[in-house]
Amino acid sequence: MSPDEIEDEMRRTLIAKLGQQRVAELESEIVDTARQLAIVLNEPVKLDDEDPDFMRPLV
Amino acid sequence: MTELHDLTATEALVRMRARTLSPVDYLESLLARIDAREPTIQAWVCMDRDVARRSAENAAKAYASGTAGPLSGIPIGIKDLILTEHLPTAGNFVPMREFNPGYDATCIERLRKAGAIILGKVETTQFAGRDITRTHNPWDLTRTASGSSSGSAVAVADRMVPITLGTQTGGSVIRPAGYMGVVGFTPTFGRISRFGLIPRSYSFDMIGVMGRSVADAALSAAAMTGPDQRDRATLKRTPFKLPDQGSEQPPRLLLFEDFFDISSDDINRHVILAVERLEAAGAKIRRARLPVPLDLMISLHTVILITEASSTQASNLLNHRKSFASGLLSQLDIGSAIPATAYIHTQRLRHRIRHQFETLLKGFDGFILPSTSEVAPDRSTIGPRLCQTPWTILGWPVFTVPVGLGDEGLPIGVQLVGAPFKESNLINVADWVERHLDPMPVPGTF
Repeated sequence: MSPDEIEDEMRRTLIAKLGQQRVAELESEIVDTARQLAIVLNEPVKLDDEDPDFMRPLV
Repeated sequence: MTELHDLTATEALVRMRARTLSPVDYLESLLARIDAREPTIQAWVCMDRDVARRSAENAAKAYASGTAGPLSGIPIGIKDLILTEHLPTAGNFVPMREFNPGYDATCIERLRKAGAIILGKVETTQFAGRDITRTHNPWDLTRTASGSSSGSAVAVADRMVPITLGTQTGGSVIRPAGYMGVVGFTPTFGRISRFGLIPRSYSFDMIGVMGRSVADAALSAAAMTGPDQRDRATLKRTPFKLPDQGSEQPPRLLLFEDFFDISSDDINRHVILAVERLEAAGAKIRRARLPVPLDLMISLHTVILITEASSTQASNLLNHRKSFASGLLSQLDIGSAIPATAYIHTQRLRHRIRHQFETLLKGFDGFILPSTSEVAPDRSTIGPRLCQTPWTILGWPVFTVPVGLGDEGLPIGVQLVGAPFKESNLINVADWVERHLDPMPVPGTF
């Protein structure tokens, strides 16, 4: 997904939850978070990277 | 002559064991120091002097009867996110000003058992978020006291108390400790129970310590470790063993040059000087690059942090939305829009990255890098997390050790990152590094 696509999706979700005005206040944070989310989501994770307890690293 | 409030905990303990220092006199010297400095520094949220004085009297009796614990008579300041039975825990959140469920966090129970005096609560940013506190930086009142463990770092730097507890979810122990020129230590995720810690991010939150020597930080952290049924992450972990300090074995370290790309010239110059000095003393330090881009690690941290934080604060968001600081509220709002699939993908990625670092560490005692990317900035920010966050993602043990003052007269530190659950080895490394660098000067503004 591109940062633009992620931004659009986040905006839609946030407008539904918090309204248009709050989303306008959050605009720069939405852009920055979408950029970071795109970096992470575009990084592939292969099945052989899996750990059944990935939610508890180091335990 | 050294004032009593200038003693490290280890130095005070030597005197108490030799019966040349009374825990009561030591406590009174620290209370006098707090009275003198607190109007300017504003590190403390609350304290109970009567309880502290009774604890000091009990410590004196313990020394007299030969039953003193490893921290008997040592006053400790507690970040105001950790539950203490005798004092409220507000997390810098007005609706929780009187919050006190009436029991101690596990780490506090263990400190009390070791004989420590739980002196009081020190300032935190709101729920360990990014909005600054009222606390002032004693090195330069115009600079940030950082965060989120601002009160913890400042109280130790300003000689108000020898040891404090902090918590780290991004860089909240190492960054403020680095800015204040004190030692910070976060043991491996799972070593210290988080039961009784108001959570910010379940899979990142760690409890750490600050002191003015590696020995102080190691001693106080060791007292809190061990399994706790109330924090599943700790169950398989026994307390780590404190090594005999004074090892002459020079460490083998990897120096990540990526952090020089993002740090100020001031930081780079002084850290490189320190590294050269350690090499001249025998340390084997090899230059390396991170196995994954720093930008990826920072992004990964953001996604997990804001998603988990939004979940932990869901109830407060519903009931006390207007009481949140603006920076934290923005993060919580955005975090509520992260899809579950994205969060899970990010946790899976985190696991892969940890393996990449494990491979890199083989044959070395740890990593070395700047503690912070710049000296303490102005009071508009707690400072960036770039240098600290990668190790929080891994959950590995980390020390920051001061290396001296930069060009602006402000502290600079190096971080030492060890292998998971190899704290004894990392303590040896940090102790060796500390002994081969100059002690931190006492600043003229104090």
